[in-house]
Amino acid sequence: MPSAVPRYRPYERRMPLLWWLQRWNYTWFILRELSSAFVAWWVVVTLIQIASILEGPQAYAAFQAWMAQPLLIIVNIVSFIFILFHTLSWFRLVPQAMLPRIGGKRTSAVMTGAPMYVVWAVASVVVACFALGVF
Amino acid sequence: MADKITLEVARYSPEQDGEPRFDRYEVPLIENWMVLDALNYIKDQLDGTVTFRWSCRMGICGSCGMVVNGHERLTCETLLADYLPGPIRVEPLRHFPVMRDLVVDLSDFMEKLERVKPWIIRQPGAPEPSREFIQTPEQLAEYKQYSLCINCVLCYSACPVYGLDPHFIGPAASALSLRYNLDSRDQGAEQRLDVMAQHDGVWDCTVIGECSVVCPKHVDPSLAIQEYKISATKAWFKNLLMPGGGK
Repeated sequence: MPSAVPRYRPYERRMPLLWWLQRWNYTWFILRELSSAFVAWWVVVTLIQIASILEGPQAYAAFQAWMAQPLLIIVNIVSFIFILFHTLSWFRLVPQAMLPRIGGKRTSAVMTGAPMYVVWAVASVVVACFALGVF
Repeated sequence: MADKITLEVARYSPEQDGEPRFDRYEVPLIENWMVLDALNYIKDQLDGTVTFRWSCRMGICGSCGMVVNGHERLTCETLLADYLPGPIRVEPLRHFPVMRDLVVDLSDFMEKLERVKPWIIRQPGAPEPSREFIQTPEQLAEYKQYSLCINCVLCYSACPVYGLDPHFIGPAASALSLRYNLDSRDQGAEQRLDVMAQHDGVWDCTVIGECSVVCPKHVDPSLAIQEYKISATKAWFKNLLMPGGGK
């Protein structure tokens, strides 16, 4: 017996290629993912820096000369901006992803997020003091 | 204030159209009229073939969710006057197949919802309670937020992960799954974790967070998914260190 259910052809939509430009939240997400590439670059530079320090003063001088190239300075400035963005985007995300319990009660988003900014600020001051020779 | 406003309504007739089009309708701009009131005006006065879902008109049933000027909204609580001078573009929810005009096929969501067992599960052989379960206000507060979900699926429409990978279990099913896990009367967390901890479960979520932004009931599905990730990780480590789950 033929089915009595009417036949219909639903319209299947595809995501547009530029879906991530439709909303600020989507764009923020794509930038956050993209920033991981700059974090990887920073890790590679740090590893090369450590290797050159271990090799001796001559190797470290060569590393410094390499880093002083205009192209690398531009790359590093862009990397710094993206790493800063990466850090802030994850700090922003933590209260959205977990609200731990303290004494059986859930903490607020401010209580979860604020300590990270405080630790970040203190660590930055300590590193700045080392870099400027205060210690 | 203008006395009329234009609505551009997405139309799709499976019998005739190859793809959706937009039809324009001019409706009276009446103070306190919602987009849903305008759609009902169109259906009653201008074009009886316009098809859309609605029921309660007070943000409870979750059936009138649509995309209004690019954003997921319950049309019964979206004021026309907020979109002056217009036009207002009304489209069906994203990522679901369009059956007709503004009506989408929700079969995929229904199947996913059933998979996470959104009901209270008691272990077989658990002693039958002699009276009703007692729950403290604190125990209620644990899951109350998630119990406010009305299955309107605005969150699925706003989730690009679901749009790109339809196998993803999705925001509302995750929130409702956690709602029962957090209920002191429930004993089914392990069964649900089997579904949620799979690759197509919570691990597909990339924490974009738009699901929580668009939720009309202020449920936070994004938080539910991340909490599930923590539970799944704990269960995995427990199983690794104590094979058999330390039972």
